[in-house]
Amino acid sequence: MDDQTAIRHLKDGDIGGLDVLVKRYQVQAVRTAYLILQDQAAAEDVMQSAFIRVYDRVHQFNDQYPFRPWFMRIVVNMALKASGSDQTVLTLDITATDFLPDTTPNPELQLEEAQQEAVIRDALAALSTEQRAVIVMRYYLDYKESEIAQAVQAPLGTVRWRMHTAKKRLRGLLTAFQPGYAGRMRDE
Amino acid sequence: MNDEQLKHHLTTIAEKDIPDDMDYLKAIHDTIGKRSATTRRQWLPLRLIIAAVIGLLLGGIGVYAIFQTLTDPGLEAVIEQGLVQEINQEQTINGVTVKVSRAYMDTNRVAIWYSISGGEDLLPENGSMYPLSTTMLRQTGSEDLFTMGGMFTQAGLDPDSDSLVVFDHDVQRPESGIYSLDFVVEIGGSMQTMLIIPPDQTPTPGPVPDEFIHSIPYVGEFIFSLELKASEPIILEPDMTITQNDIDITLQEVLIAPSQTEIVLCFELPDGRDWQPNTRIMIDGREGLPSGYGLIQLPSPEMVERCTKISFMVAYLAEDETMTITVDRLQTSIPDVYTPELFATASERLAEQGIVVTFELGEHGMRYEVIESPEGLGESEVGMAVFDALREHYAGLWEFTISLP
Repeated sequence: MDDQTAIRHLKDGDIGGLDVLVKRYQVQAVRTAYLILQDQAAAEDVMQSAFIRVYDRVHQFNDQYPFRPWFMRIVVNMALKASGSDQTVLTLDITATDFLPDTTPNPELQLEEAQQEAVIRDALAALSTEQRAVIVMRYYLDYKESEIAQAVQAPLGTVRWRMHTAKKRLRGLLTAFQPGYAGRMRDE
Repeated sequence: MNDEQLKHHLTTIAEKDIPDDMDYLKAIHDTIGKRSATTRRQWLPLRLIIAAVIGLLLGGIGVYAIFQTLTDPGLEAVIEQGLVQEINQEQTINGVTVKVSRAYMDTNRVAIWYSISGGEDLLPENGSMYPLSTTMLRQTGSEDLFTMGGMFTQAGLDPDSDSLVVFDHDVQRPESGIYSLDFVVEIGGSMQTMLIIPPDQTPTPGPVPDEFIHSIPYVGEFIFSLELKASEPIILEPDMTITQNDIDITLQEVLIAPSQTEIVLCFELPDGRDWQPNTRIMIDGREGLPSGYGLIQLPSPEMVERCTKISFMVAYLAEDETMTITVDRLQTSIPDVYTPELFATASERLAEQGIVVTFELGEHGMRYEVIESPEGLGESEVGMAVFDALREHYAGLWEFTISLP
């Protein structure tokens, strides 16, 4: 069953339509919220709340448009809201060694990969929630700036400003964590 | 590290930390099942808030300062320009009649003029039906609110109705177009009519006193189906930055609807406190004061800049040529906690303006009494000065002038 059919079922009161959407998007929703919130339990709560919102608001959804962008917009906004209500900055307590491979055919490449990943983790954790949200939307969900603007209900200029400051901060953090990486990051 | 590498690492982190074998179907079903029995209760706070405002205005309890001085040049202008729609719908339930006379919509807000009459036998002596009613704007045929809030004001602009409710599209701005909406007035039941504290006090947590709980028999829900048209707004993206006193402020966006103008300002925070811009607007010589203020980003301790959305009740006319937006200063929000030291500082600041007040912490929060003020300074102006004295200021001035299309 495709998304549009599932939504039509849900609009007709058949909760089986929601089941299809949950199975299809629950993982990506949790991963998106997790990247923003840096907390798995909170991300799972956000995902569940987002599907409840879909259930409540499905009659507002125009099924001529794709479901995924609408749904992920709900997820991102709920993640932002969740971070605001907690008023805490959550960080991941993970170091580079957690991701070092045990045995590898190309140890040098995999070591560099793991180190880069660890640097990204630390740098992400040091960003504000709002800055993480634009980075996640741009680079994980592949949103265009205009789509981010629509998602967070902010003018395009504001999104550009937020993206600019997020990338500027990320660049600074990457430099601090591992000199040499950040200079190659493009500022669109 | 380039963009592709960043994307790759984000995906890797997400996939490593969050397994793809999760199944939350049962949990979601359980939540929906448990919740269905209580769905209707979720509107209660909104109803209470609206009822509180209504109660304060017409229930004889007191009038909040902002409404005493409220005029709405934006709505006055759309009436003068004939942009308001005639509705003239009337319903009677259990001897109570609600009449909706006019309505107006643009992409910033919806205004509805209406009146309630009859049902006097249900009311306590000298009572009014307004404190015991709530208003909502829903999508036609749906329980979902079209827009949150609903600020009740004195009508004054329409001889056929005695009240006006304005719904601001704070959460989601609608596109221009025609909307089918249900304006709902629910009357009766038990209502709390004291959520807004008079201007010389601040609220404190605690139970609502019994005298502010009123009830009459439930009258009913009056539902008016409206077809409202929202015209296309003018949207400008000046992206102008002005630096003053080491602080950059950028005017990102200006959205001009006939009844209201909304701007987005981004600014650097002088420090970690909750700073807001003190802003005013001039359109071809007509001044507008802020009517709404909202943060675009949620505040967080590490935030170094902030974007805010500010709306102004100011008319826009097709022949207007220039708009000037002025940020006089940045100022901190009014503190949540009052201390004797803060009162002492505020008293010193007020004394410099010739204003003498005494502060007191009471059961409902802070209270002040004006002992002395310069001649010609009105009560509300003194009140503003008092609250200004309780804030910290960061001097400007940032002035943006833009040409209108």
